[in-house]
Amino acid sequence: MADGGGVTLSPRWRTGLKGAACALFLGHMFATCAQAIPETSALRPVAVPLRHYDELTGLWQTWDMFTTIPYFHGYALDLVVTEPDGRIETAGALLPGLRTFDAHVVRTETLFMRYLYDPEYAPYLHAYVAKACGELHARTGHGGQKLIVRESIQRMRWLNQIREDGVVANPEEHASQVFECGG
Amino acid sequence: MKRRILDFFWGPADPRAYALVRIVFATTALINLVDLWPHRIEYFASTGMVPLDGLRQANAGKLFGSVFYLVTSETGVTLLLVGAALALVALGVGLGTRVAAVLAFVWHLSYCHRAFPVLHGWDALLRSLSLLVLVSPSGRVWSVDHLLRPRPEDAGDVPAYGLRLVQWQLFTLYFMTAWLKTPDAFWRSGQVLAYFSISQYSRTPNSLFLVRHEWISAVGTYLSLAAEASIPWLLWSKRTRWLGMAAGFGLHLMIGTTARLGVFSICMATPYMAFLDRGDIDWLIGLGRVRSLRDLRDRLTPFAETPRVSG
Repeated sequence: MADGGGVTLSPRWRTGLKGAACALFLGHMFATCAQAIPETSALRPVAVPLRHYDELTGLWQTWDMFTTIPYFHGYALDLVVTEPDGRIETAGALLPGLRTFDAHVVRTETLFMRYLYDPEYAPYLHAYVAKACGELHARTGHGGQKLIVRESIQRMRWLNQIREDGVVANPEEHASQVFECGG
Repeated sequence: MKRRILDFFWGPADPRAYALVRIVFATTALINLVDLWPHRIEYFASTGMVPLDGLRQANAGKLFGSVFYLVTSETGVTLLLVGAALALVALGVGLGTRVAAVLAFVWHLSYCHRAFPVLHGWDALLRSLSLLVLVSPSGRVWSVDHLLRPRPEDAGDVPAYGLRLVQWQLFTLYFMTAWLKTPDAFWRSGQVLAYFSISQYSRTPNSLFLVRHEWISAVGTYLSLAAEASIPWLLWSKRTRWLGMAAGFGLHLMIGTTARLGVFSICMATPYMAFLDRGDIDWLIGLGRVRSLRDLRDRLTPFAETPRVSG
Protein backbone atom coordinates (compact mmCIF):
# COMPACT_ATOMS: atom_id res chain seq x y z
CA MET A 1 0.00 0.00 0.00
CA ALA A 2 1.37 3.40 -0.95
CA ASP A 3 1.29 4.82 2.52
CA GLY A 4 4.88 5.50 3.45
CA GLY A 5 7.98 7.37 2.43
CA GLY A 6 11.45 5.98 1.91
CA VAL A 7 12.24 5.15 5.57
CA THR A 8 11.93 1.47 6.51
CA LEU A 9 10.53 0.79 9.97
CA SER A 10 10.19 -2.42 11.89
CA PRO A 11 6.62 -3.84 12.03
CA ARG A 12 6.41 -3.01 15.73
CA TRP A 13 7.32 0.64 15.08
CA ARG A 14 4.93 0.83 12.16
CA THR A 15 2.07 -0.50 14.27
CA GLY A 16 3.00 1.84 17.12
CA LEU A 17 3.04 4.89 14.86
CA LYS A 18 -0.19 3.89 13.20
CA GLY A 19 -1.72 3.44 16.65
CA ALA A 20 -0.56 6.91 17.66
CA ALA A 21 -2.06 8.31 14.48
CA CYS A 22 -5.33 6.52 15.27
CA ALA A 23 -5.37 8.30 18.65
CA LEU A 24 -4.97 11.61 16.80
CA PHE A 25 -7.75 10.74 14.36
CA LEU A 26 -10.09 9.78 17.19
CA GLY A 27 -9.18 13.00 18.99
CA HIS A 28 -9.96 14.98 15.85
CA MET A 29 -13.32 13.23 15.49
CA PHE A 30 -14.09 13.95 19.12
CA ALA A 31 -13.12 17.62 18.70
CA THR A 32 -15.38 17.85 15.64
CA CYS A 33 -18.49 16.96 17.62
CA ALA A 34 -17.60 17.94 21.23
CA GLN A 35 -17.89 21.66 20.39
CA ALA A 36 -21.59 21.08 19.66
CA ILE A 37 -22.34 20.09 23.26
CA PRO A 38 -24.62 22.84 24.59
CA GLU A 39 -23.15 25.38 27.03
CA THR A 40 -25.71 24.29 29.63
CA SER A 41 -24.80 20.60 29.49
CA ALA A 42 -22.87 18.96 32.35
CA LEU A 43 -20.64 17.46 29.64
CA ARG A 44 -19.65 20.84 28.20
CA PRO A 45 -16.32 20.97 30.13
CA VAL A 46 -14.97 18.12 27.96
CA ALA A 47 -15.04 20.48 24.97
CA VAL A 48 -13.09 23.28 26.66
CA PRO A 49 -9.56 21.81 26.32
CA LEU A 50 -10.17 21.34 22.60
CA ARG A 51 -11.04 24.98 21.97
CA HIS A 52 -7.57 26.04 20.87
CA TYR A 53 -7.22 22.92 18.70
CA ASP A 54 -10.46 23.89 16.94
CA GLU A 55 -9.19 27.45 16.45
CA LEU A 56 -5.76 26.46 15.13
CA THR A 57 -7.05 23.83 12.73
CA GLY A 58 -10.12 25.79 11.61
CA LEU A 59 -12.35 23.02 12.90
CA TRP A 60 -14.73 25.33 14.77
CA GLN A 61 -18.24 24.99 13.46
CA THR A 62 -21.92 25.25 14.28
CA TRP A 63 -24.79 23.75 12.35
CA ASP A 64 -27.60 25.98 13.51
CA MET A 65 -28.62 27.42 10.13
CA PHE A 66 -32.40 27.49 9.79
CA THR A 67 -33.10 25.65 13.01
CA THR A 68 -36.32 27.63 12.92
CA ILE A 69 -38.14 29.73 10.30
CA PRO A 70 -36.74 33.02 8.96
CA TYR A 71 -38.85 35.95 10.16
CA PHE A 72 -38.33 38.48 7.38
CA HIS A 73 -39.87 38.70 3.93
CA GLY A 74 -37.58 41.56 3.06
CA TYR A 75 -34.66 43.34 4.65
CA ALA A 76 -32.99 46.65 3.83
CA LEU A 77 -30.78 48.98 5.74
CA ASP A 78 -29.29 52.46 5.55
CA LEU A 79 -27.67 55.10 7.71
CA VAL A 80 -29.61 58.10 9.03
CA VAL A 81 -27.21 60.99 9.46
CA THR A 82 -28.08 64.08 11.52
CA GLU A 83 -25.72 66.92 10.67
CA PRO A 84 -24.54 69.31 13.41
CA ASP A 85 -26.94 71.96 12.01
CA GLY A 86 -29.93 69.59 12.42
CA ARG A 87 -30.33 68.56 8.79
CA ILE A 88 -31.20 64.86 8.42
CA GLU A 89 -29.86 62.88 5.49
CA THR A 90 -29.52 59.23 4.59
CA ALA A 91 -26.46 57.38 3.39
CA GLY A 92 -25.75 53.87 2.16
CA ALA A 93 -24.45 51.39 4.74
CA LEU A 94 -21.86 49.61 2.61
CA LEU A 95 -18.20 50.46 3.13
CA PRO A 96 -16.12 51.63 1.50
CA GLY A 97 -18.00 54.45 -0.19
CA LEU A 98 -21.24 54.54 1.86
CA ARG A 99 -22.89 52.62 -0.97
CA THR A 100 -26.51 51.42 -1.05
CA PHE A 101 -27.22 48.13 0.71
CA ASP A 102 -27.86 45.23 -1.68
CA ALA A 103 -30.64 43.07 -0.26
CA HIS A 104 -29.61 40.12 -2.41
CA VAL A 105 -26.28 39.47 -0.72
CA VAL A 106 -26.96 37.00 2.07
CA ARG A 107 -23.53 37.40 3.67
CA THR A 108 -23.84 41.18 4.04
CA GLU A 109 -27.32 40.83 5.48
CA THR A 110 -25.95 38.32 7.98
CA LEU A 111 -23.15 40.72 8.89
CA PHE A 112 -25.53 43.54 9.81
CA MET A 113 -27.94 41.28 11.68
CA ARG A 114 -25.03 40.02 13.78
CA TYR A 115 -23.70 43.55 14.32
CA LEU A 116 -27.10 44.84 15.42
CA TYR A 117 -28.51 41.93 17.43
CA ASP A 118 -25.68 39.82 18.83
CA PRO A 119 -23.91 41.41 21.83
CA GLU A 120 -20.74 39.45 20.95
CA TYR A 121 -20.45 41.59 17.83
CA ALA A 122 -20.65 44.94 19.67
CA PRO A 123 -16.92 45.66 19.11
CA TYR A 124 -17.44 45.20 15.38
CA LEU A 125 -20.46 47.51 15.35
CA HIS A 126 -18.60 50.30 17.14
CA ALA A 127 -15.59 49.94 14.87
CA TYR A 128 -17.88 49.90 11.81
CA VAL A 129 -19.60 53.10 12.95
CA ALA A 130 -16.21 54.75 13.51
CA LYS A 131 -15.25 53.94 9.92
CA ALA A 132 -18.60 55.20 8.61
CA CYS A 133 -18.03 58.44 10.53
CA GLY A 134 -14.59 58.69 8.94
CA GLU A 135 -16.14 58.38 5.48
CA LEU A 136 -18.77 61.00 6.33
CA HIS A 137 -16.01 63.35 7.49
CA ALA A 138 -14.09 62.79 4.28
CA ARG A 139 -17.24 63.41 2.22
CA THR A 140 -18.55 66.52 4.02
CA GLY A 141 -15.32 67.98 5.31
CA HIS A 142 -16.53 68.05 8.88
CA GLY A 143 -17.46 65.73 11.73
CA GLY A 144 -19.92 65.98 14.59
CA GLN A 145 -22.75 64.03 12.95
CA LYS A 146 -25.12 61.75 14.80
CA LEU A 147 -25.62 58.43 13.12
CA ILE A 148 -28.28 55.73 13.33
CA VAL A 149 -28.26 52.36 11.54
CA ARG A 150 -31.86 51.99 10.31
CA GLU A 151 -33.34 48.65 9.29
CA SER A 152 -36.40 48.53 7.03
CA ILE A 153 -37.94 45.13 7.56
CA GLN A 154 -40.85 43.27 6.06
CA ARG A 155 -41.84 40.97 8.94
CA MET A 156 -43.67 37.85 7.80
CA ARG A 157 -47.19 37.28 9.06
CA TRP A 158 -48.55 33.88 10.16
CA LEU A 159 -49.64 31.51 7.40
CA ASN A 160 -53.34 31.64 8.31
CA GLN A 161 -53.26 35.46 8.21
CA ILE A 162 -51.59 35.43 4.79
CA ARG A 163 -54.19 32.98 3.45
CA GLU A 164 -56.98 35.30 4.63
CA ASP A 165 -55.92 38.46 2.81
CA GLY A 166 -52.83 37.63 0.76
CA VAL A 167 -50.67 40.15 2.60
CA VAL A 168 -47.33 38.46 3.23
CA ALA A 169 -45.62 40.86 5.62
CA ASN A 170 -45.92 43.96 7.75
CA PRO A 171 -43.38 46.76 7.35
CA GLU A 172 -41.29 47.70 10.37
CA GLU A 173 -38.46 50.14 10.95
CA HIS A 174 -35.84 49.56 13.58
CA ALA A 175 -33.31 52.17 14.62
CA SER A 176 -30.07 51.38 16.37
CA GLN A 177 -28.78 53.44 19.26
CA VAL A 178 -27.55 56.92 18.32
CA PHE A 179 -23.82 57.05 17.63
CA GLU A 180 -21.95 60.35 17.81
CA CYS A 181 -19.21 61.02 15.28
CA GLY A 182 -16.30 62.92 16.75
CA GLY A 183 -15.40 66.38 15.52
CA MET B 1 -10.52 -4.06 19.18
CA LYS B 2 -7.10 -2.49 18.48
CA ARG B 3 -6.92 -4.34 15.17
CA ARG B 4 -10.37 -3.12 14.20
CA ILE B 5 -9.47 0.49 14.93
CA LEU B 6 -6.22 0.15 12.96
CA ASP B 7 -8.11 -1.39 10.04
CA PHE B 8 -10.79 1.28 10.21
CA PHE B 9 -8.25 4.07 9.67
CA TRP B 10 -5.41 2.26 7.91
CA GLY B 11 -7.32 -0.24 5.83
CA PRO B 12 -6.99 0.04 2.04
CA ALA B 13 -8.91 2.63 0.04
CA ASP B 14 -9.11 3.48 -3.62
CA PRO B 15 -6.87 6.50 -4.37
CA ARG B 16 -9.46 7.71 -6.88
CA ALA B 17 -11.85 8.42 -3.98
CA TYR B 18 -9.25 10.86 -2.62
CA ALA B 19 -8.85 12.33 -6.08
CA LEU B 20 -12.60 12.89 -6.29
CA VAL B 21 -12.68 14.50 -2.84
CA ARG B 22 -9.78 16.76 -3.83
CA ILE B 23 -11.22 17.74 -7.22
CA VAL B 24 -14.76 18.38 -5.97
CA PHE B 25 -13.44 20.26 -2.93
CA ALA B 26 -11.22 22.50 -5.08
CA THR B 27 -14.08 23.17 -7.49
CA THR B 28 -16.58 24.08 -4.78
CA ALA B 29 -14.02 26.17 -2.91
CA LEU B 30 -13.33 28.04 -6.15
CA ILE B 31 -17.06 28.68 -6.63
CA ASN B 32 -17.19 30.03 -3.07
CA LEU B 33 -14.23 32.29 -3.81
CA VAL B 34 -15.94 33.58 -6.97
CA ASP B 35 -19.02 34.28 -4.85
CA LEU B 36 -16.85 36.29 -2.42
CA TRP B 37 -14.99 38.14 -5.17
CA PRO B 38 -17.41 41.09 -5.72
CA HIS B 39 -17.38 41.76 -1.95
CA ARG B 40 -13.68 41.25 -1.30
CA ILE B 41 -13.00 44.89 -0.41
CA GLU B 42 -16.09 45.12 1.84
CA TYR B 43 -15.10 42.02 3.81
CA PHE B 44 -11.30 41.83 3.77
CA ALA B 45 -9.77 45.27 3.19
CA SER B 46 -9.05 47.84 5.88
CA THR B 47 -11.48 50.20 4.13
CA GLY B 48 -14.30 47.64 4.38
CA MET B 49 -17.03 46.78 6.85
CA VAL B 50 -15.15 44.35 9.09
CA PRO B 51 -12.74 46.61 10.96
CA LEU B 52 -9.61 44.98 12.34
CA ASP B 53 -10.06 46.90 15.63
CA GLY B 54 -13.41 45.20 16.21
CA LEU B 55 -12.01 41.86 15.14
CA ARG B 56 -9.12 42.07 17.61
CA GLN B 57 -11.44 42.97 20.50
CA ALA B 58 -14.03 40.31 19.72
CA ASN B 59 -11.48 37.55 19.18
CA ALA B 60 -9.10 38.37 22.03
CA GLY B 61 -7.65 35.16 23.47
CA LYS B 62 -8.51 33.06 20.44
CA LEU B 63 -5.78 31.45 18.34
CA PHE B 64 -6.95 32.97 15.10
CA GLY B 65 -4.50 33.84 12.35
CA SER B 66 -4.97 35.31 8.90
CA VAL B 67 -2.85 36.55 6.04
CA PHE B 68 -5.42 39.34 5.81
CA TYR B 69 -4.15 40.72 9.13
CA LEU B 70 -0.97 41.61 7.23
CA VAL B 71 -2.40 42.41 3.82
CA THR B 72 -5.07 45.08 4.27
CA SER B 73 -4.92 47.25 1.15
CA GLU B 74 -7.52 46.88 -1.58
CA THR B 75 -4.91 45.90 -4.15
CA GLY B 76 -3.29 43.45 -1.74
CA VAL B 77 -6.63 41.81 -1.00
CA THR B 78 -7.37 41.46 -4.71
CA LEU B 79 -3.96 39.87 -5.34
CA LEU B 80 -4.45 37.47 -2.44
CA LEU B 81 -7.77 36.30 -3.84
CA VAL B 82 -6.19 35.81 -7.25
CA GLY B 83 -3.43 33.77 -5.61
CA ALA B 84 -5.97 31.68 -3.69
CA ALA B 85 -7.93 31.05 -6.89
CA LEU B 86 -4.76 29.85 -8.65
CA ALA B 87 -3.96 27.57 -5.71
CA LEU B 88 -7.45 26.06 -5.86
CA VAL B 89 -7.16 25.48 -9.60
CA ALA B 90 -3.78 23.80 -9.02
CA LEU B 91 -5.30 21.67 -6.27
CA GLY B 92 -8.18 20.65 -8.50
CA VAL B 93 -6.03 19.57 -11.43
CA GLY B 94 -3.37 18.12 -9.13
CA LEU B 95 -0.41 20.30 -10.06
CA GLY B 96 2.00 20.73 -7.15
CA THR B 97 -0.83 19.16 -5.19
CA ARG B 98 0.62 19.23 -1.69
CA VAL B 99 1.75 22.86 -1.91
CA ALA B 100 -1.63 23.80 -3.38
CA ALA B 101 -3.36 22.01 -0.48
CA VAL B 102 -1.29 24.01 2.03
CA LEU B 103 -2.25 27.25 0.26
CA ALA B 104 -5.92 26.22 0.12
CA PHE B 105 -5.88 25.56 3.87
CA VAL B 106 -4.21 28.92 4.56
CA TRP B 107 -6.78 30.66 2.33
CA HIS B 108 -9.73 29.13 4.17
CA LEU B 109 -8.32 29.86 7.62
CA SER B 110 -7.40 33.39 6.55
CA TYR B 111 -10.67 34.50 5.07
CA CYS B 112 -12.72 32.89 7.84
CA HIS B 113 -10.66 34.47 10.59
CA ARG B 114 -10.71 37.85 8.85
CA ALA B 115 -14.37 38.08 7.85
CA PHE B 116 -15.86 36.27 10.82
CA PRO B 117 -19.22 38.17 10.78
CA VAL B 118 -20.13 37.12 7.22
CA LEU B 119 -19.59 33.40 7.66
CA HIS B 120 -22.17 30.68 7.14
CA GLY B 121 -22.23 26.93 7.56
CA TRP B 122 -20.62 26.19 4.21
CA ASP B 123 -17.56 28.23 5.19
CA ALA B 124 -17.10 25.96 8.22
CA LEU B 125 -17.44 22.90 6.01
CA LEU B 126 -14.90 24.16 3.46
CA ARG B 127 -12.49 25.14 6.23
CA SER B 128 -12.73 21.75 7.90
CA LEU B 129 -12.37 19.92 4.58
CA SER B 130 -9.36 22.03 3.61
CA LEU B 131 -7.50 20.58 6.60
CA LEU B 132 -8.58 17.04 5.80
CA VAL B 133 -7.56 17.36 2.14
CA LEU B 134 -4.18 18.64 3.34
CA VAL B 135 -3.46 15.67 5.63
CA SER B 136 -4.97 12.99 3.36
CA PRO B 137 -3.40 11.06 0.49
CA SER B 138 -3.63 13.35 -2.50
CA GLY B 139 -5.25 11.03 -5.03
CA ARG B 140 -2.25 11.46 -7.29
CA VAL B 141 -3.64 8.86 -9.68
CA TRP B 142 -5.87 11.55 -11.18
CA SER B 143 -3.58 14.55 -11.37
CA VAL B 144 -1.31 16.53 -13.64
CA ASP B 145 1.53 15.56 -11.30
CA HIS B 146 0.87 11.93 -12.25
CA LEU B 147 0.79 12.75 -15.95
CA LEU B 148 4.09 14.61 -15.72
CA ARG B 149 5.89 12.22 -13.35
CA PRO B 150 4.00 8.92 -13.06
CA ARG B 151 4.95 6.66 -10.15
CA PRO B 152 4.11 2.95 -9.98
CA GLU B 153 2.43 3.36 -6.60
CA ASP B 154 0.06 6.12 -7.78
CA ALA B 155 -2.72 3.64 -8.60
CA GLY B 156 -2.10 1.47 -5.53
CA ASP B 157 -4.32 1.38 -2.47
CA VAL B 158 -3.84 4.09 0.13
CA PRO B 159 -4.91 4.29 3.81
CA ALA B 160 -8.55 5.12 4.42
CA TYR B 161 -8.07 7.56 7.34
CA GLY B 162 -8.70 10.73 5.31
CA LEU B 163 -11.95 9.37 3.92
CA ARG B 164 -13.02 8.30 7.43
CA LEU B 165 -12.46 11.81 8.77
CA VAL B 166 -14.42 13.38 5.91
CA GLN B 167 -17.21 10.84 6.46
CA TRP B 168 -17.26 11.77 10.14
CA GLN B 169 -17.51 15.46 9.26
CA LEU B 170 -20.58 14.73 7.13
CA PHE B 171 -22.08 12.59 9.87
CA THR B 172 -21.54 15.33 12.47
CA LEU B 173 -23.01 17.99 10.20
CA TYR B 174 -26.24 16.14 9.49
CA PHE B 175 -26.62 14.73 12.99
CA MET B 176 -26.21 18.16 14.58
CA THR B 177 -28.55 19.93 12.21
CA ALA B 178 -31.26 17.28 12.72
CA TRP B 179 -30.66 17.43 16.49
CA LEU B 180 -31.11 21.20 16.52
CA LYS B 181 -34.09 21.32 14.16
CA THR B 182 -36.20 18.51 15.58
CA PRO B 183 -37.35 20.31 18.77
CA ASP B 184 -38.46 23.41 16.83
CA ALA B 185 -42.23 23.96 16.66
CA PHE B 186 -42.19 24.97 12.98
CA TRP B 187 -40.16 21.95 11.88
CA ARG B 188 -42.55 19.75 13.87
CA SER B 189 -45.65 21.37 12.38
CA GLY B 190 -44.26 21.03 8.87
CA GLN B 191 -44.57 24.76 8.16
CA VAL B 192 -40.88 25.51 7.61
CA LEU B 193 -40.92 25.22 3.83
CA ALA B 194 -44.00 27.45 3.55
CA TYR B 195 -42.40 30.19 5.64
CA PHE B 196 -39.05 29.75 3.96
CA SER B 197 -40.65 30.09 0.52
CA ILE B 198 -41.81 33.64 1.32
CA SER B 199 -38.72 34.72 3.25
CA GLN B 200 -35.89 36.95 2.12
CA TYR B 201 -33.82 33.81 1.44
CA SER B 202 -36.26 32.47 -1.14
CA ARG B 203 -35.73 32.93 -4.87
CA THR B 204 -39.50 33.51 -5.20
CA PRO B 205 -40.54 35.33 -2.00
CA ASN B 206 -43.79 36.56 -3.52
CA SER B 207 -45.09 33.13 -4.49
CA LEU B 208 -47.81 31.91 -2.10
CA PHE B 209 -47.98 28.39 -3.53
CA LEU B 210 -46.73 26.62 -0.40
CA VAL B 211 -48.73 28.95 1.84
CA ARG B 212 -51.92 28.00 0.03
CA HIS B 213 -50.97 24.29 -0.17
CA GLU B 214 -49.57 23.80 3.28
CA TRP B 215 -49.73 20.01 3.05
CA ILE B 216 -46.97 20.13 0.40
CA SER B 217 -44.89 22.18 2.80
CA ALA B 218 -45.49 19.59 5.54
CA VAL B 219 -44.45 16.69 3.32
CA GLY B 220 -41.36 18.59 2.17
CA THR B 221 -40.42 19.67 5.68
CA TYR B 222 -40.69 16.15 7.10
CA LEU B 223 -38.82 14.66 4.13
CA SER B 224 -36.00 17.21 4.61
CA LEU B 225 -35.72 16.32 8.29
CA ALA B 226 -35.85 12.59 7.56
CA ALA B 227 -33.18 12.98 4.87
CA GLU B 228 -30.82 14.90 7.17
CA ALA B 229 -31.25 12.34 9.94
CA SER B 230 -30.68 9.33 7.69
CA ILE B 231 -28.20 10.35 4.96
CA PRO B 232 -24.97 9.37 6.80
CA TRP B 233 -26.38 5.95 7.66
CA LEU B 234 -27.66 5.38 4.15
CA LEU B 235 -24.30 6.37 2.67
CA TRP B 236 -22.38 4.01 4.93
CA SER B 237 -23.93 0.81 3.60
CA LYS B 238 -23.23 -0.18 0.01
CA ARG B 239 -26.77 -1.50 -0.34
CA THR B 240 -28.40 1.87 0.54
CA ARG B 241 -25.69 4.22 -0.71
CA TRP B 242 -27.56 5.09 -3.89
CA LEU B 243 -30.52 6.10 -1.73
CA GLY B 244 -28.29 8.25 0.49
CA MET B 245 -26.77 9.91 -2.58
CA ALA B 246 -30.21 10.49 -4.10
CA ALA B 247 -31.60 11.88 -0.84
CA GLY B 248 -28.58 14.14 -0.29
CA PHE B 249 -28.31 15.49 -3.81
CA GLY B 250 -32.10 15.81 -4.02
CA LEU B 251 -32.20 17.78 -0.79
CA HIS B 252 -29.40 20.13 -1.81
CA LEU B 253 -30.71 20.49 -5.34
CA MET B 254 -34.02 21.60 -3.84
CA ILE B 255 -32.28 24.08 -1.54
CA GLY B 256 -30.07 25.36 -4.33
CA THR B 257 -32.93 25.94 -6.75
CA THR B 258 -35.45 27.43 -4.32
CA ALA B 259 -33.20 29.40 -1.97
CA ARG B 260 -30.55 32.05 -2.46
CA LEU B 261 -28.07 29.61 -0.94
CA GLY B 262 -26.72 27.96 -4.06
CA VAL B 263 -23.12 28.04 -2.82
CA PHE B 264 -24.11 26.07 0.27
CA SER B 265 -25.68 23.32 -1.80
CA ILE B 266 -22.67 23.12 -4.11
CA CYS B 267 -20.22 22.96 -1.19
CA MET B 268 -22.09 20.01 0.28
CA ALA B 269 -21.06 17.78 -2.63
CA THR B 270 -17.48 17.13 -1.44
CA PRO B 271 -18.02 14.91 1.61
CA TYR B 272 -20.31 12.60 -0.37
CA MET B 273 -17.29 11.66 -2.51
CA ALA B 274 -15.62 10.15 0.58
CA PHE B 275 -18.24 7.39 0.66
CA LEU B 276 -17.48 6.10 -2.83
CA ASP B 277 -15.56 2.83 -3.00
CA ARG B 278 -13.83 1.16 -5.90
CA GLY B 279 -17.03 -0.42 -7.21
CA ASP B 280 -18.90 2.89 -7.11
CA ILE B 281 -16.13 4.74 -8.92
CA ASP B 282 -15.85 2.03 -11.59
CA TRP B 283 -19.63 2.24 -11.98
CA LEU B 284 -19.51 6.04 -12.35
CA ILE B 285 -16.72 5.80 -14.92
CA GLY B 286 -18.83 3.24 -16.77
CA LEU B 287 -21.78 5.59 -16.64
CA GLY B 288 -19.68 8.15 -18.48
CA ARG B 289 -19.28 5.65 -21.32
CA VAL B 290 -23.00 5.02 -21.75
CA ARG B 291 -24.01 5.36 -25.40
CA SER B 292 -27.58 4.04 -25.39
CA LEU B 293 -30.60 3.56 -23.13
CA ARG B 294 -29.84 -0.16 -22.99
CA ASP B 295 -26.30 0.62 -21.75
CA LEU B 296 -27.82 2.88 -19.14
CA ARG B 297 -30.24 0.20 -17.94
CA ASP B 298 -27.41 -2.33 -17.68
CA ARG B 299 -25.34 0.14 -15.71
CA LEU B 300 -28.09 1.15 -13.31
CA THR B 301 -29.03 -2.37 -12.29
CA PRO B 302 -25.83 -3.66 -10.63
CA PHE B 303 -25.26 -0.45 -8.65
CA ALA B 304 -28.18 -1.20 -6.38
CA GLU B 305 -27.64 -4.94 -6.20
CA THR B 306 -23.98 -5.49 -5.33
CA PRO B 307 -23.79 -5.70 -1.52
CA ARG B 308 -20.54 -4.25 -0.22
CA VAL B 309 -19.41 -2.37 2.86
CA SER B 310 -18.01 1.14 2.63
CA GLY B 311 -14.27 1.53 2.27
